[in-house]
Amino acid sequence: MKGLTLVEVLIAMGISIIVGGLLLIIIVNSAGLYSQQSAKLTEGLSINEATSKVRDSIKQSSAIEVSLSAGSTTYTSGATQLVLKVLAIDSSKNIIADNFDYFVFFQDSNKLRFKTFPSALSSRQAQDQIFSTLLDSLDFKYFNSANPPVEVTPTNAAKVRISITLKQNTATSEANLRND
Amino acid sequence: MINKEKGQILVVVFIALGVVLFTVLSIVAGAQIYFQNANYSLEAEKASSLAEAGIDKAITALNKTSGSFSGESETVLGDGTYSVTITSKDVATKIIEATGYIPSKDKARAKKTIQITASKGVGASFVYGIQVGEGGLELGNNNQVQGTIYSNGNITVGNNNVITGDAWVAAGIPPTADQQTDCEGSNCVEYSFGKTVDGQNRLDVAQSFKPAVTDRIRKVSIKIKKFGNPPDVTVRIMGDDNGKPKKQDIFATGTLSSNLVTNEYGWIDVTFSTNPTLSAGTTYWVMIDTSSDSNNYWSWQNDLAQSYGNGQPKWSPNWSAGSPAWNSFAGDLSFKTYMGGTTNSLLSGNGTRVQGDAHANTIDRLIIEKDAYYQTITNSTVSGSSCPNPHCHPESEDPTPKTFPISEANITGWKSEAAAAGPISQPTCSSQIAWGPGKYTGDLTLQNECILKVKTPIWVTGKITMGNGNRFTLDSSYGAGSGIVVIDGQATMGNGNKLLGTGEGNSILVLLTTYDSRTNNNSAITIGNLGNTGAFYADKGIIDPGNKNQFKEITAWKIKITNDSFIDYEIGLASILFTSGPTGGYTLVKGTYQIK
Repeated sequence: MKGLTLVEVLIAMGISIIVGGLLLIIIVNSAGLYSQQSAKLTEGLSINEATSKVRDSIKQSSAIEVSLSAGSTTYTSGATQLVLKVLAIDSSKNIIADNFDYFVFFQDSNKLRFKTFPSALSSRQAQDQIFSTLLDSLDFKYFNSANPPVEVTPTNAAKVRISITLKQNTATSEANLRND
Repeated sequence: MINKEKGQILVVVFIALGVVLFTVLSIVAGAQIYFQNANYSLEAEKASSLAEAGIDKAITALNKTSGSFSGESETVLGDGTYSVTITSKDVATKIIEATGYIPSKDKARAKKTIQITASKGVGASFVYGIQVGEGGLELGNNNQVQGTIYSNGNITVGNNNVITGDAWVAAGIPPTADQQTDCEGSNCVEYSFGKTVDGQNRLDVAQSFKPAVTDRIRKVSIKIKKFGNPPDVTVRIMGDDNGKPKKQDIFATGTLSSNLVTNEYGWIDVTFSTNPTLSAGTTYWVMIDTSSDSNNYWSWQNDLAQSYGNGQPKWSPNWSAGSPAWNSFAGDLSFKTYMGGTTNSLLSGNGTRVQGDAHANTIDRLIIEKDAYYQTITNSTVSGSSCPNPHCHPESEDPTPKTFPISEANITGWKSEAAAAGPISQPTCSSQIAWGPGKYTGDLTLQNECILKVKTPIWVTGKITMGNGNRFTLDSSYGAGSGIVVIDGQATMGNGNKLLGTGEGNSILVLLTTYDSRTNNNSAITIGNLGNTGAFYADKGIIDPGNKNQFKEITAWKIKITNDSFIDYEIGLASILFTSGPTGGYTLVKGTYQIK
């Protein structure tokens, strides 16, 4: 059998190293791009879900509650927390007059969380949902019904604007309280 | 051996290509998912707007068809369609469920359903267990008020009473206006605003005035009516900037409640969140700020004779713009301003306890469990000890006076509805046929144990005298709606008389009298002892609610509660709806908006 010359071996090794290196770079970059784009996608979906949930909740609210004590925690409506007073519903999903559940949206370090505190008569379930774990900042602003709207304290608000900033996405949305 | 090694580099290249392909496809798929999700969010919002449009259309259709409109299916609007179903909850209440679809019901990519209740009637907000006008409140001994008291006059309390909410004693409003203008005959014309009229975008309308005295402004009254059902609007007292309102100088802000305004002109009171001092001879403006809605707007009565010499009217498309444009027009808009008034006190006997906060210019001999806000306090404990302590707030501004939850215009509207329903005669006790709605001319006397089912509004032009054990119950067809009996004379009740709602929701039956006690000091409503229940209203009268009775709510110019009464205010009374007669229009019921 005829063997390979040293030059041939060296050329073959050189080509293998170059091709292998290029392939490695392609694989690493692809994996990086994949993970980056996946994260961006997840964030985008989270932000859409969160703004939609906040907007629907605000629309159904009877009032912005100044604060809510739940166990040892007190939630206070302000720039990073929103406490909504929403009419409770029965098992047929009809409103129960003068009976309220409370929805809380708040920033918990880098998490955007949503909690539901149903009343004893309500058929809503208690919820503790995390919309995103990549929260950079959360900002609630409160406005009255004047034209143009004027920023007011949460108790006097007829409209709430929410700005969510995640690592790579920012979204702003607003809604009027339909039941105030 | 050599053959077996062929193609290894190709395998590696395929693997690399596979990785790249997977990454590219994943990113493309992700982008597609994100695009679809974002698109869905947008379309869901459009579907929601379509459903709301369906509800607006349903209200208009209900009013055009006297309530017979039953809904519609697959109506095309913009990028989608909407369907509406209407079900009757009771004689005056409809449940409207509207669903918006993008692009259509069959191929819906997005769908949103909204439900809301519409009712024929007038909304009213009884926010306090007891609300008293300038006549003030006299409370005897051992009474319990389950709720909050708000008084524009002095509160004088006996011994051992309990108020579970707050006690507010506001500064009193003087009986006569400082500045006022009205019109007569053909000089009275409409000045519509809150929409575009003749190409003018009249959203903000103002009338200037000059106070005759330097004092605090307590209230303005505006002669106004509404078209459709516009939302509450903001009224501001503003400074003057060379003949137009100065946007930087807002002295006071109040809310004109749409509930108090009807489709006929009436004087509507507006009070403010603060009572600033205005200077005599200086020009100020009363300005109403609205949003544009061609179906739901306002009309302020305008005096073409321009009989008010100290001011002028103007309109603007946006009072808060960078350089607001204010435009003149001929006339004077009808208004009244009330300046000055009295400072009032909360004076108690022994052992009377306020479980919430107490607010008054002067407080004496009261046990206040939370905080006290005052100018002067004597012989009282606040949060367990005498003042000063952290719960004492001396030098607090006097609370601002509040308007009553029912206006003259509302009362006139009910009387018109009752008159339109026709005359009614002396009721037959224990009849299965409901009494009313309608107008009863003359005095009405009921002996004892007369059990009546009623439909309202009922207007009695004279006085009502009841013996014992009579019972008025609002007909069950009114559902959660409330009813009203308006009388022009005095009402006198013995013992055990009951005014009851339907029993559903917050339904109540209110006995309202227009009798004026302010000059003769006679009681407008006198209630006997033991076992009377109901809600009573006398905005110009005195209510003498007797002993050992239980009430849902009492509102009067003056109230004299003697001993052992129990006022049990229910939170739901903050938004009740008086069901109209046949002529009433459908409006949305606040607090019933629900995304299904």
